[in-house]
Amino acid sequence: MKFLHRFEWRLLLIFFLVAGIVHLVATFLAVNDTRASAYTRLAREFPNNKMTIADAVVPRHQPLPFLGPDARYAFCPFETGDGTMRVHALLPDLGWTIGVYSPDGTNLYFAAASADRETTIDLSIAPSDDRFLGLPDSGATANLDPRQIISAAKGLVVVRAPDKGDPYRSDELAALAKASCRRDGA
Amino acid sequence: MASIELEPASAPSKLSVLRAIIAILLRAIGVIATLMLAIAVGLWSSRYMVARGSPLSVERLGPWEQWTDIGRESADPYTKANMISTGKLRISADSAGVFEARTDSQGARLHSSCNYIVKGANMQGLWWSLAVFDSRGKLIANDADRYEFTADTIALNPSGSFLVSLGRDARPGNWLPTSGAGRLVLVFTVLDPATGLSSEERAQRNKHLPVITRESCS
Repeated sequence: MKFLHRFEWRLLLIFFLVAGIVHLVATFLAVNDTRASAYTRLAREFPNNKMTIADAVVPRHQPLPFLGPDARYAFCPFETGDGTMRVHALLPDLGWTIGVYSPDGTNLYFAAASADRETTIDLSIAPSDDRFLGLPDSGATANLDPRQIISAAKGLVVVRAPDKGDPYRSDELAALAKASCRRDGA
Repeated sequence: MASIELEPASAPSKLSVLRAIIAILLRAIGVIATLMLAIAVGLWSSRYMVARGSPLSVERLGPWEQWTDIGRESADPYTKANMISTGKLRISADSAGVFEARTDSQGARLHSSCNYIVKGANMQGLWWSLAVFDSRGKLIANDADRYEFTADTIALNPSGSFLVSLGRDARPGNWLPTSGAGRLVLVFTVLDPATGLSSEERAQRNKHLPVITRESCS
Protein backbone atom coordinates (compact mmCIF):
# COMPACT_ATOMS: atom_id res chain seq x y z
CA MET A 1 0.00 0.00 0.00
CA LYS A 2 2.88 2.33 0.80
CA PHE A 3 4.25 1.68 -2.70
CA LEU A 4 0.88 2.55 -4.24
CA HIS A 5 0.81 5.82 -2.31
CA ARG A 6 4.27 6.74 -3.52
CA PHE A 7 3.70 5.60 -7.13
CA GLU A 8 3.45 8.46 -9.60
CA TRP A 9 0.19 7.66 -11.39
CA ARG A 10 0.47 10.86 -13.38
CA LEU A 11 3.75 9.65 -14.86
CA LEU A 12 2.10 6.38 -15.90
CA LEU A 13 -0.69 8.34 -17.55
CA ILE A 14 1.84 10.55 -19.33
CA PHE A 15 3.73 7.43 -20.45
CA PHE A 16 0.70 5.80 -22.10
CA LEU A 17 -0.50 9.08 -23.61
CA VAL A 18 2.87 9.96 -25.15
CA ALA A 19 3.58 6.36 -26.28
CA GLY A 20 0.15 6.23 -27.96
CA ILE A 21 0.60 9.55 -29.73
CA VAL A 22 4.12 8.61 -30.93
CA HIS A 23 2.84 5.21 -32.11
CA LEU A 24 0.03 6.81 -34.14
CA VAL A 25 2.26 9.52 -35.62
CA ALA A 26 5.01 7.00 -36.57
CA THR A 27 2.48 4.69 -38.23
CA PHE A 28 0.86 7.60 -40.08
CA LEU A 29 4.28 8.78 -41.31
CA ALA A 30 5.15 5.22 -42.45
CA VAL A 31 1.91 5.02 -44.47
CA ASN A 32 2.70 8.32 -46.16
CA ASP A 33 6.40 7.81 -46.77
CA THR A 34 6.30 6.30 -50.26
CA ARG A 35 10.02 6.67 -51.05
CA ALA A 36 10.59 2.89 -50.86
CA SER A 37 7.24 1.75 -52.23
CA ALA A 38 6.95 -0.60 -55.19
CA TYR A 39 5.31 2.15 -57.24
CA THR A 40 8.13 4.64 -56.59
CA ARG A 41 10.84 2.08 -57.42
CA LEU A 42 9.17 0.90 -60.63
CA ALA A 43 8.17 4.41 -61.76
CA ARG A 44 11.88 5.32 -61.56
CA GLU A 45 12.89 2.34 -63.66
CA PHE A 46 10.16 2.10 -66.31
CA PRO A 47 8.72 4.75 -68.64
CA ASN A 48 5.39 6.31 -67.80
CA ASN A 49 2.23 5.35 -69.70
CA LYS A 50 3.97 2.59 -71.63
CA MET A 51 3.91 -1.18 -71.08
CA THR A 52 7.47 -2.45 -70.76
CA ILE A 53 8.50 -6.07 -70.40
CA ALA A 54 11.00 -6.33 -67.57
CA ASP A 55 14.08 -8.52 -67.75
CA ALA A 56 13.78 -11.90 -66.07
CA VAL A 57 13.94 -11.61 -62.29
CA VAL A 58 17.33 -12.95 -61.17
CA PRO A 59 19.58 -12.09 -58.19
CA ARG A 60 21.47 -9.36 -60.07
CA HIS A 61 18.27 -7.84 -61.42
CA GLN A 62 15.49 -7.88 -58.89
CA PRO A 63 13.44 -4.70 -59.18
CA LEU A 64 11.50 -5.33 -55.96
CA PRO A 65 12.12 -7.35 -52.80
CA PHE A 66 10.19 -10.62 -52.58
CA LEU A 67 9.24 -10.32 -56.26
CA GLY A 68 8.63 -13.86 -57.42
CA PRO A 69 11.09 -15.07 -60.05
CA ASP A 70 8.39 -17.52 -61.16
CA ALA A 71 7.09 -15.16 -63.83
CA ARG A 72 7.97 -12.57 -66.44
CA TYR A 73 6.45 -9.17 -65.81
CA ALA A 74 5.31 -6.22 -67.88
CA PHE A 75 5.00 -2.95 -65.97
CA CYS A 76 3.26 0.29 -66.86
CA PRO A 77 3.43 3.15 -64.38
CA PHE A 78 0.64 5.52 -65.39
CA GLU A 79 -0.70 8.98 -64.72
CA THR A 80 -4.13 9.95 -65.96
CA GLY A 81 -3.68 13.70 -65.48
CA ASP A 82 -4.11 14.40 -69.20
CA GLY A 83 -6.76 11.84 -70.01
CA THR A 84 -7.96 8.27 -69.87
CA MET A 85 -5.55 5.35 -70.20
CA ARG A 86 -6.42 2.25 -72.22
CA VAL A 87 -4.99 -1.07 -71.06
CA HIS A 88 -5.13 -4.23 -73.13
CA ALA A 89 -3.77 -7.65 -72.24
CA LEU A 90 -4.19 -11.29 -73.14
CA LEU A 91 -4.19 -13.87 -70.37
CA PRO A 92 -3.79 -17.13 -72.29
CA ASP A 93 -3.28 -19.67 -69.54
CA LEU A 94 -3.58 -20.48 -65.85
CA GLY A 95 -1.27 -18.33 -63.72
CA TRP A 96 -1.44 -15.26 -65.99
CA THR A 97 -2.73 -12.21 -64.17
CA ILE A 98 -3.19 -8.50 -64.61
CA GLY A 99 -3.37 -6.09 -61.71
CA VAL A 100 -3.79 -2.34 -61.38
CA TYR A 101 -2.25 -0.95 -58.21
CA SER A 102 -2.50 2.44 -56.58
CA PRO A 103 0.79 4.01 -55.37
CA ASP A 104 0.17 2.64 -51.85
CA GLY A 105 -0.15 -0.93 -53.17
CA THR A 106 -3.94 -1.21 -53.06
CA ASN A 107 -5.30 -3.49 -55.83
CA LEU A 108 -7.70 -1.35 -57.85
CA TYR A 109 -8.34 -4.11 -60.37
CA PHE A 110 -7.23 -7.70 -60.69
CA ALA A 111 -7.98 -10.49 -63.14
CA ALA A 112 -6.56 -14.01 -63.40
CA ALA A 113 -6.71 -16.26 -66.45
CA SER A 114 -9.12 -19.13 -66.53
CA ALA A 115 -7.76 -22.66 -67.05
CA ASP A 116 -9.93 -23.47 -70.05
CA ARG A 117 -9.91 -20.36 -72.23
CA GLU A 118 -7.90 -17.29 -73.16
CA THR A 119 -9.06 -14.15 -71.39
CA THR A 120 -8.85 -10.74 -73.05
CA ILE A 121 -8.73 -7.69 -70.86
CA ASP A 122 -9.70 -4.25 -72.15
CA LEU A 123 -9.63 -1.76 -69.39
CA SER A 124 -9.89 2.00 -69.15
CA ILE A 125 -8.34 3.97 -66.33
CA ALA A 126 -10.02 7.33 -66.00
CA PRO A 127 -8.73 10.28 -64.01
CA SER A 128 -9.84 10.20 -60.38
CA ASP A 129 -13.51 10.96 -59.80
CA ASP A 130 -13.45 14.73 -59.36
CA ARG A 131 -11.38 15.36 -62.49
CA PHE A 132 -13.35 12.77 -64.40
CA LEU A 133 -16.62 14.51 -63.61
CA GLY A 134 -15.03 17.81 -64.56
CA LEU A 135 -14.54 16.78 -68.21
CA PRO A 136 -18.07 16.15 -69.52
CA ASP A 137 -17.43 17.49 -73.01
CA SER A 138 -14.26 15.62 -73.83
CA GLY A 139 -16.19 12.65 -75.17
CA ALA A 140 -13.25 10.46 -74.28
CA THR A 141 -15.25 8.20 -71.99
CA ALA A 142 -18.54 8.09 -73.84
CA ASN A 143 -17.95 4.77 -75.56
CA LEU A 144 -16.38 2.89 -72.65
CA ASP A 145 -17.89 -0.23 -71.14
CA PRO A 146 -18.72 0.90 -67.59
CA ARG A 147 -17.80 -2.51 -66.20
CA GLN A 148 -14.20 -2.05 -67.35
CA ILE A 149 -13.55 1.48 -66.16
CA ILE A 150 -11.63 2.20 -63.05
CA SER A 151 -10.69 5.53 -61.65
CA ALA A 152 -7.18 6.46 -60.53
CA ALA A 153 -4.92 9.51 -60.79
CA LYS A 154 -1.77 7.40 -60.92
CA GLY A 155 -0.60 3.90 -60.25
CA LEU A 156 0.87 0.82 -61.80
CA VAL A 157 -0.36 -1.84 -64.24
CA VAL A 158 1.34 -5.22 -63.86
CA VAL A 159 0.88 -8.14 -66.26
CA ARG A 160 2.35 -11.37 -64.94
CA ALA A 161 3.20 -14.34 -67.17
CA PRO A 162 4.22 -17.48 -65.28
CA ASP A 163 7.54 -18.84 -66.53
CA LYS A 164 7.06 -22.48 -67.50
CA GLY A 165 10.63 -22.92 -68.67
CA ASP A 166 12.70 -22.60 -71.84
CA PRO A 167 10.43 -24.47 -74.31
CA TYR A 168 7.52 -22.11 -73.61
CA ARG A 169 9.39 -18.85 -73.12
CA SER A 170 9.15 -17.41 -76.63
CA ASP A 171 5.38 -18.01 -76.74
CA GLU A 172 4.97 -16.47 -73.31
CA LEU A 173 6.98 -13.40 -74.27
CA ALA A 174 5.02 -13.05 -77.54
CA ALA A 175 1.74 -13.08 -75.59
CA LEU A 176 3.18 -10.68 -73.00
CA ALA A 177 4.33 -8.32 -75.77
CA LYS A 178 0.68 -7.93 -76.83
CA ALA A 179 -0.06 -6.17 -73.55
CA SER A 180 -0.36 -2.44 -74.00
CA CYS A 181 -0.98 0.64 -71.94
CA ARG A 182 -1.48 3.96 -73.71
CA ARG A 183 -3.28 7.22 -73.46
CA ASP A 184 -6.70 7.18 -75.07
CA GLY A 185 -6.44 8.34 -78.69
CA ALA A 186 -2.67 7.98 -78.83
CA MET B 1 -0.01 43.06 30.62
CA ALA B 2 1.18 39.83 29.14
CA SER B 3 3.81 39.94 26.51
CA ILE B 4 4.62 37.46 23.84
CA GLU B 5 8.15 36.87 22.83
CA LEU B 6 8.58 36.17 19.16
CA GLU B 7 11.55 34.16 18.08
CA PRO B 8 13.27 35.49 14.98
CA ALA B 9 12.40 33.35 11.90
CA SER B 10 15.23 30.98 11.25
CA ALA B 11 16.61 30.79 7.70
CA PRO B 12 16.16 27.36 6.03
CA SER B 13 19.15 25.22 6.59
CA LYS B 14 21.46 24.39 3.74
CA LEU B 15 20.50 20.75 4.07
CA SER B 16 16.79 21.37 3.52
CA VAL B 17 17.51 23.54 0.47
CA LEU B 18 19.69 20.80 -0.93
CA ARG B 19 16.95 18.24 -0.28
CA ALA B 20 14.41 20.41 -2.10
CA ILE B 21 16.73 20.82 -5.10
CA ILE B 22 17.42 17.08 -5.25
CA ALA B 23 13.68 16.36 -5.07
CA ILE B 24 13.00 18.74 -7.98
CA LEU B 25 15.87 17.24 -9.98
CA LEU B 26 14.67 13.68 -9.33
CA ARG B 27 11.17 14.66 -10.40
CA ALA B 28 12.49 16.25 -13.59
CA ILE B 29 14.64 13.21 -14.32
CA GLY B 30 11.59 10.97 -13.73
CA VAL B 31 9.47 12.99 -16.16
CA ILE B 32 12.22 13.10 -18.81
CA ALA B 33 12.92 9.35 -18.45
CA THR B 34 9.18 8.62 -18.72
CA LEU B 35 8.91 10.75 -21.87
CA MET B 36 11.97 9.13 -23.47
CA LEU B 37 10.74 5.65 -22.59
CA ALA B 38 7.28 6.49 -23.96
CA ILE B 39 8.77 7.79 -27.23
CA ALA B 40 10.95 4.67 -27.56
CA VAL B 41 8.02 2.33 -26.84
CA GLY B 42 5.76 4.25 -29.25
CA LEU B 43 8.34 4.09 -32.06
CA TRP B 44 9.28 0.47 -31.41
CA SER B 45 5.67 -0.76 -31.23
CA SER B 46 4.81 1.05 -34.46
CA ARG B 47 7.85 -0.33 -36.28
CA TYR B 48 7.17 -3.85 -35.00
CA MET B 49 3.50 -3.80 -35.96
CA VAL B 50 4.39 -2.45 -39.42
CA ALA B 51 7.22 -4.92 -40.02
CA ARG B 52 5.83 -8.09 -38.44
CA GLY B 53 2.15 -7.39 -37.89
CA SER B 54 -0.04 -8.38 -34.99
CA PRO B 55 -3.10 -10.59 -34.60
CA LEU B 56 -5.09 -7.56 -35.77
CA SER B 57 -3.50 -7.63 -39.22
CA VAL B 58 -1.68 -10.95 -39.66
CA GLU B 59 -3.15 -14.44 -39.63
CA ARG B 60 -0.76 -17.20 -38.53
CA LEU B 61 -1.30 -20.66 -39.95
CA GLY B 62 1.43 -22.90 -38.56
CA PRO B 63 4.70 -21.41 -39.80
CA TRP B 64 2.89 -19.34 -42.44
CA GLU B 65 1.86 -15.73 -42.00
CA GLN B 66 -0.63 -13.89 -44.15
CA TRP B 67 -1.51 -10.19 -44.02
CA THR B 68 -5.26 -10.67 -44.03
CA ASP B 69 -6.25 -7.43 -45.78
CA ILE B 70 -3.24 -6.97 -48.04
CA GLY B 71 -3.99 -5.11 -51.25
CA ARG B 72 -7.53 -4.29 -50.15
CA GLU B 73 -8.92 -0.78 -50.09
CA SER B 74 -10.02 -1.45 -46.52
CA ALA B 75 -6.54 -2.53 -45.35
CA ASP B 76 -5.51 -1.23 -41.93
CA PRO B 77 -2.64 1.33 -41.68
CA TYR B 78 -0.15 -1.33 -40.53
CA THR B 79 -0.78 -3.47 -43.62
CA LYS B 80 -0.51 -0.43 -45.92
CA ALA B 81 2.66 0.76 -44.18
CA ASN B 82 4.17 -2.73 -44.48
CA MET B 83 3.53 -2.78 -48.24
CA ILE B 84 4.89 0.75 -48.71
CA SER B 85 7.97 0.50 -46.50
CA THR B 86 9.11 -2.92 -47.73
CA GLY B 87 8.50 -2.21 -51.43
CA LYS B 88 6.57 -5.45 -51.86
CA LEU B 89 4.03 -5.81 -54.64
CA ARG B 90 1.38 -8.23 -53.50
CA ILE B 91 -1.78 -9.57 -55.09
CA SER B 92 -4.84 -8.61 -53.09
CA ALA B 93 -6.09 -11.06 -50.48
CA ASP B 94 -9.34 -11.06 -52.50
CA SER B 95 -7.56 -12.75 -55.42
CA ALA B 96 -4.76 -14.88 -53.98
CA GLY B 97 -3.27 -16.24 -50.81
CA VAL B 98 0.27 -15.01 -50.24
CA PHE B 99 1.92 -16.69 -47.26
CA GLU B 100 5.37 -16.06 -45.79
CA ALA B 101 7.25 -18.46 -43.51
CA ARG B 102 10.23 -17.42 -41.40
CA THR B 103 10.20 -20.52 -39.23
CA ASP B 104 9.76 -24.24 -39.76
CA SER B 105 6.63 -26.02 -38.56
CA GLN B 106 8.31 -26.59 -35.16
CA GLY B 107 8.86 -22.85 -34.74
CA ALA B 108 12.66 -22.72 -35.29
CA ARG B 109 14.02 -19.92 -37.48
CA LEU B 110 14.65 -20.97 -41.11
CA HIS B 111 18.38 -20.77 -41.79
CA SER B 112 20.62 -21.69 -44.69
CA SER B 113 22.83 -23.79 -42.42
CA CYS B 114 19.98 -26.33 -42.18
CA ASN B 115 18.27 -28.67 -44.62
CA TYR B 116 14.48 -28.66 -44.83
CA ILE B 117 11.74 -30.67 -46.48
CA VAL B 118 8.58 -28.85 -47.56
CA LYS B 119 5.61 -31.16 -48.04
CA GLY B 120 2.59 -29.74 -49.84
CA ALA B 121 -0.84 -31.20 -50.48
CA ASN B 122 -2.57 -31.47 -53.84
CA MET B 123 -3.65 -27.90 -54.58
CA GLN B 124 -6.69 -29.07 -56.58
CA GLY B 125 -5.86 -27.34 -59.88
CA LEU B 126 -4.99 -23.98 -58.33
CA TRP B 127 -1.89 -22.25 -59.64
CA TRP B 128 0.75 -21.85 -56.94
CA SER B 129 4.42 -21.02 -56.47
CA LEU B 130 6.97 -21.56 -53.73
CA ALA B 131 9.99 -19.23 -53.71
CA VAL B 132 12.89 -18.83 -51.29
CA PHE B 133 14.50 -15.49 -50.39
CA ASP B 134 16.96 -14.20 -47.83
CA SER B 135 15.57 -12.17 -44.92
CA ARG B 136 15.72 -8.92 -46.95
CA GLY B 137 13.68 -10.38 -49.81
CA LYS B 138 16.62 -10.93 -52.15
CA LEU B 139 16.94 -14.04 -54.28
CA ILE B 140 19.73 -16.42 -53.33
CA ALA B 141 22.30 -16.62 -56.12
CA ASN B 142 23.15 -20.20 -57.14
CA ASP B 143 24.79 -21.99 -60.05
CA ALA B 144 21.60 -23.91 -60.86
CA ASP B 145 19.65 -20.64 -61.39
CA ARG B 146 16.89 -22.13 -59.30
CA TYR B 147 14.87 -19.87 -57.04
CA GLU B 148 11.34 -21.27 -56.98
CA PHE B 149 8.97 -24.00 -58.05
CA THR B 150 5.51 -23.48 -59.43
CA ALA B 151 2.53 -25.66 -60.28
CA ASP B 152 3.97 -25.67 -63.84
CA THR B 153 7.58 -26.51 -63.08
CA ILE B 154 7.54 -28.87 -60.11
CA ALA B 155 7.69 -32.67 -60.34
CA LEU B 156 4.52 -33.75 -58.54
CA ASN B 157 3.93 -37.01 -56.71
CA PRO B 158 1.36 -39.35 -58.33
CA SER B 159 -1.19 -38.16 -55.76
CA GLY B 160 -0.72 -34.55 -56.85
CA SER B 161 1.10 -33.63 -53.64
CA PHE B 162 4.63 -32.25 -53.80
CA LEU B 163 7.89 -32.35 -51.93
CA VAL B 164 10.60 -29.67 -52.08
CA SER B 165 13.98 -29.90 -50.38
CA LEU B 166 15.85 -26.78 -49.24
CA GLY B 167 19.55 -26.95 -48.53
CA ARG B 168 23.07 -26.09 -49.54
CA ASP B 169 23.96 -29.34 -51.24
CA ALA B 170 22.37 -30.54 -54.48
CA ARG B 171 19.73 -33.24 -54.13
CA PRO B 172 17.69 -35.21 -56.61
CA GLY B 173 14.11 -34.06 -57.15
CA ASN B 174 12.74 -30.62 -56.35
CA TRP B 175 15.74 -28.97 -54.73
CA LEU B 176 16.01 -25.24 -53.92
CA PRO B 177 19.55 -24.07 -53.11
CA THR B 178 19.92 -21.85 -50.03
CA SER B 179 23.69 -21.65 -49.76
CA GLY B 180 25.11 -18.83 -47.64
CA ALA B 181 21.90 -16.83 -47.37
CA GLY B 182 21.62 -16.79 -43.58
CA ARG B 183 18.03 -16.41 -42.44
CA LEU B 184 15.49 -17.54 -45.02
CA VAL B 185 11.96 -16.53 -45.96
CA LEU B 186 9.70 -18.85 -47.93
CA VAL B 187 6.86 -17.30 -49.92
CA PHE B 188 3.97 -19.54 -50.97
CA THR B 189 1.49 -17.95 -53.37
CA VAL B 190 -1.79 -19.59 -54.41
CA LEU B 191 -3.91 -17.84 -57.02
CA ASP B 192 -7.66 -18.01 -56.62
CA PRO B 193 -9.43 -19.43 -59.69
CA ALA B 194 -10.78 -16.88 -62.18
CA THR B 195 -14.25 -17.43 -60.71
CA GLY B 196 -13.02 -16.52 -57.22
CA LEU B 197 -13.26 -18.34 -53.91
CA SER B 198 -15.78 -18.02 -51.12
CA SER B 199 -14.44 -17.35 -47.64
CA GLU B 200 -15.24 -20.97 -46.71
CA GLU B 201 -13.27 -22.26 -49.70
CA ARG B 202 -10.44 -19.92 -48.80
CA ALA B 203 -10.40 -21.21 -45.21
CA GLN B 204 -10.37 -24.77 -46.55
CA ARG B 205 -7.43 -23.93 -48.83
CA ASN B 206 -5.54 -22.43 -45.89
CA LYS B 207 -5.82 -25.70 -43.98
CA HIS B 208 -3.64 -27.41 -46.61
CA LEU B 209 -0.59 -25.19 -46.54
CA PRO B 210 2.76 -26.97 -46.83
CA VAL B 211 4.50 -28.39 -43.77
CA ILE B 212 8.16 -27.35 -43.29
CA THR B 213 10.32 -29.92 -41.50
CA ARG B 214 13.94 -29.42 -40.51
CA GLU B 215 16.09 -32.43 -41.41
CA SER B 216 19.54 -31.51 -40.19
CA CYS B 217 21.83 -28.57 -39.50
CA SER B 218 25.56 -28.17 -39.84
